[in-house]
Amino acid sequence: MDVMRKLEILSNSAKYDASCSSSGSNRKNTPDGIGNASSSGICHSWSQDGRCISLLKILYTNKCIYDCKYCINRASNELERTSFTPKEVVDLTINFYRRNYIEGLFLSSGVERNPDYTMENLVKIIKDLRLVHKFNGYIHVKAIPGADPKFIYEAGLYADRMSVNIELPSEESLKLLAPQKNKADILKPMGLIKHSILESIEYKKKGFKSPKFTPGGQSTQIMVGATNESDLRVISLTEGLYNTFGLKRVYYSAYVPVVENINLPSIQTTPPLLKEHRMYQADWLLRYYGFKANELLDDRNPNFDVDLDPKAFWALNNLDKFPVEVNNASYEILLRVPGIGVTSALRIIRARRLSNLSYDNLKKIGIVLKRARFFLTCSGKFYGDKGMERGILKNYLLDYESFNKPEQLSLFNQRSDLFA
Amino acid sequence: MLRYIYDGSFDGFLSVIYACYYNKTPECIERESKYNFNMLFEDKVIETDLVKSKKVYNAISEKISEDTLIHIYQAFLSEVNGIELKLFRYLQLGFKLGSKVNDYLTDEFVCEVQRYSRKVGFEAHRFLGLVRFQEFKGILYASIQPTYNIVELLGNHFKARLNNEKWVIHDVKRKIGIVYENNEWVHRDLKFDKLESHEEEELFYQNLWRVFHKSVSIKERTNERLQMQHMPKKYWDNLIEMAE
Repeated sequence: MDVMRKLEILSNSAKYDASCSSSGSNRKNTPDGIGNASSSGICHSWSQDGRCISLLKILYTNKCIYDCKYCINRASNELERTSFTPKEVVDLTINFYRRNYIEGLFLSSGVERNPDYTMENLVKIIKDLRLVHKFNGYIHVKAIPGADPKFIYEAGLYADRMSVNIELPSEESLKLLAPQKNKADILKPMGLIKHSILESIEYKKKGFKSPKFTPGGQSTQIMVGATNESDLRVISLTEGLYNTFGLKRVYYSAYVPVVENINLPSIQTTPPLLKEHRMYQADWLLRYYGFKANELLDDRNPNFDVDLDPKAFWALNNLDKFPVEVNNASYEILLRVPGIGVTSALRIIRARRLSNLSYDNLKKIGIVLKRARFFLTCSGKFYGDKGMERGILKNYLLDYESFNKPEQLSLFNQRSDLFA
Repeated sequence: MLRYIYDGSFDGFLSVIYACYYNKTPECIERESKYNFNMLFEDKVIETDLVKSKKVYNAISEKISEDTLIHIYQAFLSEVNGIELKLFRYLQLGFKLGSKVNDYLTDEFVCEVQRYSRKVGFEAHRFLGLVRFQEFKGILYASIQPTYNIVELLGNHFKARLNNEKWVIHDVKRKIGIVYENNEWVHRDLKFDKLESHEEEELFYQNLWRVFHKSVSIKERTNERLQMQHMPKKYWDNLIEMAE
């Protein structure tokens, strides 16, 4: 089989991994090498589905011994199977990189023969890239659950980021849909990676020269909409992962039905993109806005209102905390105002050092007040003419903007019977 | 009314600022290439003087701040009509207030200059990803058509990355570019049209890239509006995966 066909098959099999970020690492180039990593990450292109392409995202092989029901590469699926040779992966990576098509390599794999064999192959390739070809661009590699810790550790020495996908947010779903896997197997490599990162940092602090271990940290992915866990459950799991494993990112992927199974949504279902979007918004609130999972949702309200973004949802449930005064509210409080994000909050803080801010000043420095005005006072004056009543306010905060295309209306109906 | 005319370079612009302080303050500052006669103006050509521009350069970074210098430089690269006079007002305020000027967002000129600085900085960052090199007998060549004059903001990035290659980035619209060889990049006038490589190996990788670009997209999630939002159509001509 020629490289082109292989690339087509193995990138097609890898595309359900949402992660493509190339951030978090600032690996330097070497005099005889090629490439470096940029800590902000750089997107190089966008595919037709609007997702960014920054890494060459491929599987090493799509042969797999597991039969996870939701997966396109499951053993029982009739699919053309193939593997790259290490040389092909290296050639593709270096030649794409030189032409500035990509920021680096995202290498994943189906589990061929057994986890050890697969992980060893992945390590071989990235080691070859780093040591023989002096490639210093970004490398993201999967840790295969169940593989020998020594292979996982070795991969971490050459990769910028590693990830283990959780996919299913609870043990019951795992039993139902991926009976050959178990929770412990998935969490073990995560713990190992976290431990090795801490160790490497600790050594450095003490003044020893220690090898960098995945400077870009680790990430994971959870599927949204394949099973019926509540949003609260997914968000709490996310928070737990950030706290216990120090993850850099948790990705969510709206489940795209690839197979008919009684335990999965039917094959005609549209992917729950809006729900996925809400999960990402909530994830941001956890990481950058100082929210806790149990503030956003609780047992009485275990799911987000899909018509509202999670911050507006929280604000409507906590109207007693508003309005806040722009000229003296702290950064943390400003961040909690719907319509004000990190950029706007920082800009307000900078500008109010030099002069008192009026409503017109806010407009001028580029704060979007469409939603924020209902929650703010400027020098004591309130500009949200609608009062502070939940039912009335909600109409002004509805967020259809990103999903208002007529052909996607069906998505709303589909969603409501799935998640009623 | 007084109008200063300069050659369009950043050093030329800084020489104008020098003149603004040591001679008269003008009502308008215009670059040579945009010059057209206007009866109302009394024109004065300011020669680019590297000694004077260096003085202004240092004064900005020492008496105001490094950030201000970056804002001024990036906003200058936007080449928007009338930006020069706004930059001058920004600097006037800056020499009065010191580094605090960057926070003075309620001021019209500060706000606008920083807005252009952001736009230029954003486009430059975008192009770190959107540059597509083609190989010509071992030399990497890329053509770009950015809205703002950002080509020189790309130099250090690609120097660090492709230090053992020879490469050229060509701004086709402005007929300028940067050329990298032997560990340094230089700014050049490149008065030719966009080039296309037809080497066999080059076409082979271009096709692989197209195949990858297509197969990595999830059909069920197709959202071309989102794609265009991130990667506007104005850039497509120079993108191998998007060009017809």
